Amino acid sequence: MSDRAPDGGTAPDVADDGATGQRGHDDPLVVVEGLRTHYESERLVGGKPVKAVDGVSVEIGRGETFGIVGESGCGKTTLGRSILRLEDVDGGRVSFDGTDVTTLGRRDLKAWRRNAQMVYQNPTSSINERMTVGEIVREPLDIHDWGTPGERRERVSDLLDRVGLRPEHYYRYPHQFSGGQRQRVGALDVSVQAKILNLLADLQAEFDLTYMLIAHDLSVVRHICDRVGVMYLGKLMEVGPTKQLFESPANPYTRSLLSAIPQPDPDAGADRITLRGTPPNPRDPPSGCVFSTRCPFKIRPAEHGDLTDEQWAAIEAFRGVIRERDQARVTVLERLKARLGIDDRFTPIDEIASELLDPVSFPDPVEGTLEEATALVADGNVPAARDRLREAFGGVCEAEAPEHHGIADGQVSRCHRHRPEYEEPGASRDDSGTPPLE
Amino acid sequence: MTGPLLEVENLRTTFVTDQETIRAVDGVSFSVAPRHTLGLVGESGSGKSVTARSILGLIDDPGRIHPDSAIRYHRPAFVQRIAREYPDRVRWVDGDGDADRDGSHDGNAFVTIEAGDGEGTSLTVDRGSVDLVAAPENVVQSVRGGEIAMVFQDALGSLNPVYTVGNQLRELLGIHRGLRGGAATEAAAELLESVGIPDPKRRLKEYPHQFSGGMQQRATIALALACDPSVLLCDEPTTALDVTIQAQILELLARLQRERDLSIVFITHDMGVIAQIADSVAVMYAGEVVERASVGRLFDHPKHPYTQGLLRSIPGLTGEVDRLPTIEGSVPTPNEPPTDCRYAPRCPKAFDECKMIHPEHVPAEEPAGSEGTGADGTDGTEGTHVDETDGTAERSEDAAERTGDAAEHTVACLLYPDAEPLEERLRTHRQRGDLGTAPDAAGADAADGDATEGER
Repeated sequence: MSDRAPDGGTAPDVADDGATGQRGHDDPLVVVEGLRTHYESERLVGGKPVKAVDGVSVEIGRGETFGIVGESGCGKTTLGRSILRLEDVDGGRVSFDGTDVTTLGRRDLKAWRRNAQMVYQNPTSSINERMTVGEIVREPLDIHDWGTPGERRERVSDLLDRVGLRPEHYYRYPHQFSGGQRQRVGALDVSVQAKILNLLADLQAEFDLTYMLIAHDLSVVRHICDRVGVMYLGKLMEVGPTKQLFESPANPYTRSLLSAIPQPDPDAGADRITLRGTPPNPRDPPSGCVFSTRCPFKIRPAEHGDLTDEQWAAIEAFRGVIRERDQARVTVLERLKARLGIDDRFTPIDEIASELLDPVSFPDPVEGTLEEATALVADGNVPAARDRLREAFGGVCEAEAPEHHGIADGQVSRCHRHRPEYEEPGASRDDSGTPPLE
Repeated sequence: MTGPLLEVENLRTTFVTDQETIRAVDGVSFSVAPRHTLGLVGESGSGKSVTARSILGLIDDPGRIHPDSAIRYHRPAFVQRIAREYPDRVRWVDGDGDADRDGSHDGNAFVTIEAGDGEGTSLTVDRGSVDLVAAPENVVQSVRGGEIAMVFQDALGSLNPVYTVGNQLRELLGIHRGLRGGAATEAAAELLESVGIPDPKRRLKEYPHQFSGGMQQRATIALALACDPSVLLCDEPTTALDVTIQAQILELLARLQRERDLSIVFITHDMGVIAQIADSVAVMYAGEVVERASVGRLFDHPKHPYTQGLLRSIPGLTGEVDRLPTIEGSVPTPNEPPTDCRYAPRCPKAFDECKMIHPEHVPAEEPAGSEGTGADGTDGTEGTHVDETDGTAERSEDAAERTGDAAEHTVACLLYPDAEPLEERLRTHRQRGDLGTAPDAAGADAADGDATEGER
């Protein structure tokens, strides 16, 4: 049960995901409620939409620096674009200083985008090829009517100088820069990166800016952000004040993500969590919790409480193969060929099963279920095999989507383990999370 | 095998253009022991990638590897094979590095045998090396194919988009191991499985774009392993990947190293990755190695002001600090022979002499705890290493001494050896510089002329 009841006062189209949990600021400038952005399937029939952003709620305070982190494909960039309404949203609300920007007309929208600027991570695509570098850097100053034109130019030279570019670069076009020089605007090397971060901090102090920083580099986020949100497959898994989130992450995904950062300390890393597998296909997200296919802290169903880590690892590896096949088997023709046995694209499932499951012995009922599933795959009915295995081994994590639970002041996390009947992620470490793959 | 497997000595790779000669790699030396990982770290523009490409002979015009450079590959079986193929380009040396056996053709020899027996097709080699700088192109090519393989940052770019992953693996297996048909398919599937790609037979029939980023990098590692190499050069292989995938790839490399007795040269700008994967580290700056140490020593007792700066500017490490310490300025493009410290313009500890004397590698002193011995102890250590960066004659011998864990900690900075008074230190660096660069200075004049003709 959630410590914080979902906010009853929000608009009806707002997803029920404990929106109040993210209220981290007395004076919110940007309020995002139940935001959903889905991309339609390219296929005509039977395609599922990609839920790039799926019910995200967040508040960003005036003058605050809010970080969104997550791995590629988690929807963090789409979230940023949706907030700027560079994407058509499918549900939810974004309000800026009290105004709902999801309903803005063209003109007002333009004004909103002027107030909210996006700085991209990719140096080449973020630079407008038809503006000189000086113009690009001066643009925000112009918008803010900062000083006189002469002062602005001086300021720009000063800023360029700080990131290691010389004043004569002012009149150059971006394509006249080397890759390395361009990166200086996009920041790659640590020493340059540090300069950019300091620059951002200076600008914030000077212009009273509010930042939403979208990044995959967690150490950068840790350094610069007041609060951080962690995204996985379109969902906000955890939000909290930066220090708290980094020092005592509650959500299994946050824990895994933080533990994966290589520490500049040769003695660190003994208890590193290495996630199994790759992030799931967003077109076919896992049922229940989106992180359930890779979670090292996944709750095992009580009826299988006696299975060892080794047995679980084998079962999860077997399920992984079947899940991937279910997703890979795309066309009707291929399905037909497989059924007729003329497709040699797949290793026969018996072979996979014997490779993954034979080295481990299972109690009879488990063995029976695994054989059942193997037979279903052999018959060409991969989805049924997948369902059968989920029923038997999925547990609560694959059956229900977890709610946001309040952890500490301002820290919320979306995980079944926060429910009183389960152990907290920190207390129980499921080592089947360490790889069958590696 | 007790010595290093791969040894790079005084490597100098230049790019000659109309306006200037870019000295992308300028006198780099390091060695890699069998089954060890050397981390090559530095900012972009420091010459890390050019170093790796030089080892594989992948330097295209207008790039040149200076003929005084040496890249020695030591695997005895390979040295033996090449020695049999090129009997008149073998030179025998005894333990002191002096020419041995009558009739040695020192002039154009590129194979060195230190311990071996026999002649012609019955020649056996227990210890020796092939110098890849002096070797003909087809020898370098066979090293590239079967001895040293490379993994690049851009995984998708190193895979051919129009062939399935299986086709690409089978082709390589055919070339390098003579496998065809079903045997090649089996071997290809095994390779994919060994790099942690589940359901490998299905994956063999897929195209690179159907793989996720992490899986693509696994596939390129599988391709690199297809020729069963002894050395893997990894050029920022995880930089483009997410952290959880990066962690998987780093674990994979560590496992493959154990299983296949691989030596790894790992290039990165990420000190965190270095800390996790490397046994020893060479820190590069503007084409030069400025500090060399075991990974533990480097992180616990960084000596060079540049290394110290790099470690300090990692965000997150410094915790609560509001402003990140930065290294002002950026890496210069080296286009003149070094007559000063290239880091001096950015160095917070620079003094006048830094602009006049080129710092040479000297031993870094013992860690603070064990420093009781004082100047005498330091002098003693130094005595044994003094020849290391000396003239060419005694190099191989000294190099043999600094093998194994490469635990020796050296730093190229005028602040060291810091037990010595300033005048003494300056004299040490000057002396070593004179000895070390004398032949190079002559070569440098002719670098863009005939001297390099005929070299690859």
